[in-house]
Amino acid sequence: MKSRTSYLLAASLLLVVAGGARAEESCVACHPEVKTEYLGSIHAKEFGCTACHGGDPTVTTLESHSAAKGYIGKPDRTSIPALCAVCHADPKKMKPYGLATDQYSQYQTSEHGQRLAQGDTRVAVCTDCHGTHHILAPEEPTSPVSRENIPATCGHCHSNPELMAPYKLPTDQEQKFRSSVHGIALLVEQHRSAPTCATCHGAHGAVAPQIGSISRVCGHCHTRTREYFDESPHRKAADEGKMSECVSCHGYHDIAEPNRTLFDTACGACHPGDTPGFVMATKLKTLLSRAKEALDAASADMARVEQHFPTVVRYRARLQQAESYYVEALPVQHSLALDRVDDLTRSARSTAEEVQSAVHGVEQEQQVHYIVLALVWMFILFVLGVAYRYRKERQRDRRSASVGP
Amino acid sequence: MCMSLGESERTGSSVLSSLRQLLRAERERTVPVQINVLHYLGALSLVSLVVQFVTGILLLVYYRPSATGAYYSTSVIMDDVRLGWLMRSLHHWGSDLLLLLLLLHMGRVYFSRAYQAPRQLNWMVGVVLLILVGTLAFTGILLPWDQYAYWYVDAARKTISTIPVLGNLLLGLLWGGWDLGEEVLLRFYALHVGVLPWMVLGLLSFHWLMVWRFGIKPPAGETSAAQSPRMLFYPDFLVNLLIAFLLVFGVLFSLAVFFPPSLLQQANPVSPLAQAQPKWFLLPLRGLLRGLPGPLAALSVAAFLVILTLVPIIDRNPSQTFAKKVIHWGLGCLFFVAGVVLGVNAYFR
Repeated sequence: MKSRTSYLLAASLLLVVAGGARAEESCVACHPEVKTEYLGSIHAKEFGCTACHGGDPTVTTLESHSAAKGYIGKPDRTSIPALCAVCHADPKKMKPYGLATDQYSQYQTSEHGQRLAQGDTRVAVCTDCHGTHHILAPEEPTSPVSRENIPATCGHCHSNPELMAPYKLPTDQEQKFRSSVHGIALLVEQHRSAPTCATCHGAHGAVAPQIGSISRVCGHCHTRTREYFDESPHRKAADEGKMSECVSCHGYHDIAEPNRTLFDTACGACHPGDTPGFVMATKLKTLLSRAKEALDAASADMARVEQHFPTVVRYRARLQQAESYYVEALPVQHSLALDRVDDLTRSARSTAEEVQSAVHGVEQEQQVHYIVLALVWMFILFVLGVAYRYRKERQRDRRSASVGP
Repeated sequence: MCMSLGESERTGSSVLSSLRQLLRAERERTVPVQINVLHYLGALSLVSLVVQFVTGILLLVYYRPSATGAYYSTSVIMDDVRLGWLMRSLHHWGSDLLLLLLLLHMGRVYFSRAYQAPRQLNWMVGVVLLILVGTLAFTGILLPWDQYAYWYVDAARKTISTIPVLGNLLLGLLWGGWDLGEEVLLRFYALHVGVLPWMVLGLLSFHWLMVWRFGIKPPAGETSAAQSPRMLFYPDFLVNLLIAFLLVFGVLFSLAVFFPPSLLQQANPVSPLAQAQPKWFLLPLRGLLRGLPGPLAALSVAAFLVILTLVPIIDRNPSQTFAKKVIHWGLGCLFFVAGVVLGVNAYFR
């Protein structure tokens, strides 16, 4: 009820200011530091203080702060989502900026929104993530909701043990994420497509992925892996609740770059010793390892030879083809179809070995070129020697002819 | 009207005897003994041009002048044709060598004032030859149709378009109003293979006939050929030329083996190359065009070429005072240093 009242109050205030162009407001006379902060905000281009705080901007006395003038002061936390939604849930207002208008409805379905509706004011509201006066577009690198800053923004609350204690939530997610393959891709390598917290949990509609939906969450990006996983016997096991899909092997916040030791640790955790499952894992590991070793060897040879003989770059496309076979085998392994993995890794291996052999051929051919060059120089020096000697003889003859008998 | 058998025999024997006389005269042809290594630069240029013709004809066998075929055929030459890479590499480095030898030869002729009567026309032909060989080298850059070729020639088009009047004329001749594509490639190919080599060959023949006619200028201090000690052209001069050529060819061959020309990705008009540095011989021109406004740069180049061509007319008096000598050497060195400075400036910018 309180929330609804705040919403109506804010809406009425905004209706007052939305009618005309933004005028210079008197608030800055007493709050100059806020002006400085606010001027850099994306909102500063469109409206002033009274849009959120109410009051009369034309009055320069404290009367402008009176309730009669619609002044609400600092909005209380429970009213903030509704206050922001006055504009951000209005398609007409958001249309010129090409912004979505479902943030508020998403927020209401989120864990944050639901708890706020229950009166829990410790949960995140709009201003906790987006800021207050100095709100920046997410594309701005310094915005707290820019892709690179999202882990820190979420971690601001979720890494706080005191704040998380009542919810019995762990506080190491941010730290784990930062050292994960996703965190390194996002924060160190700065890949534009690397996932942030919001990619898996949602942004305004933030919820924790539930068991049974994990492969779908991961599958948003790892599409083919999810398809192959669904073809595997693990699908049935996951449906029966015997495993937690992707996270059973890869973990979640601290997902490391997958390597072949996972076959020993992750597979071995459920399929001990000589069980068929472990034998299958060992075979998969062997196939992938051999292909990777062949690829690494071919790449290393190409890099080494390329420094001296640049023409080997002509085999790079073929090596990339070998790598694509291997990359294709990586999601296929989740289907546990040994024959398909065998086909792909065999293609990767044979193509890589073919490239390696061709690169060695170029190296040997170039060595032959150097031998030919040496022979050409030997011939040149020999002819030079003969010509030089002949020249000397001719000079001697000329001298003796000029001296006379 | 028919020639009788006796007349025909007489005519035949007179031709043979004329030929014998010519050969005897040629066997007795002499050159001054004091000529130094710089006097072989002209002959070395000729031999280098022969290398360019031979390697060019061999490349022509495999090269296909089309937007789809040019790059593919060049990569076939580099990768699949036996010794194709060597032919392309020799042709690539040979063009640089030829230009370098021509420039050095021209420098030698300038500083020894060998352009004076009766060799004035030969100097002028030499200037035209230098321009033609430079154009030949420029038109050859586009033919591999890789990224460097495309973006270098595109940058050159932009530079040329800044030259008033003459720029449009050159663009009309080389580009024909087309965007850089197969039509321009064909024009460059036609010029590189069908027009310029034969113009060079014709002018070079004339140049050599003149050298043959007037001989090598006696070294400084000797006023006439008669006063200068002589050596036979065959075999003395030719043996010296062989020695010089073998050394130059050895360097050329080594460059070709150690540094074969690269072949980047196929020309892609929507993927600009970050930097397409011009060939060394065009760097001074680029430096000038970048350093001065278009009209002034064009005027400077035109003035330079006119003055260069008219050097034998400007400097006609065989006698040389100390002041004239200083001016002559000073101007030569000034142009050389200006060229180097402009080139270095263009390279590092």
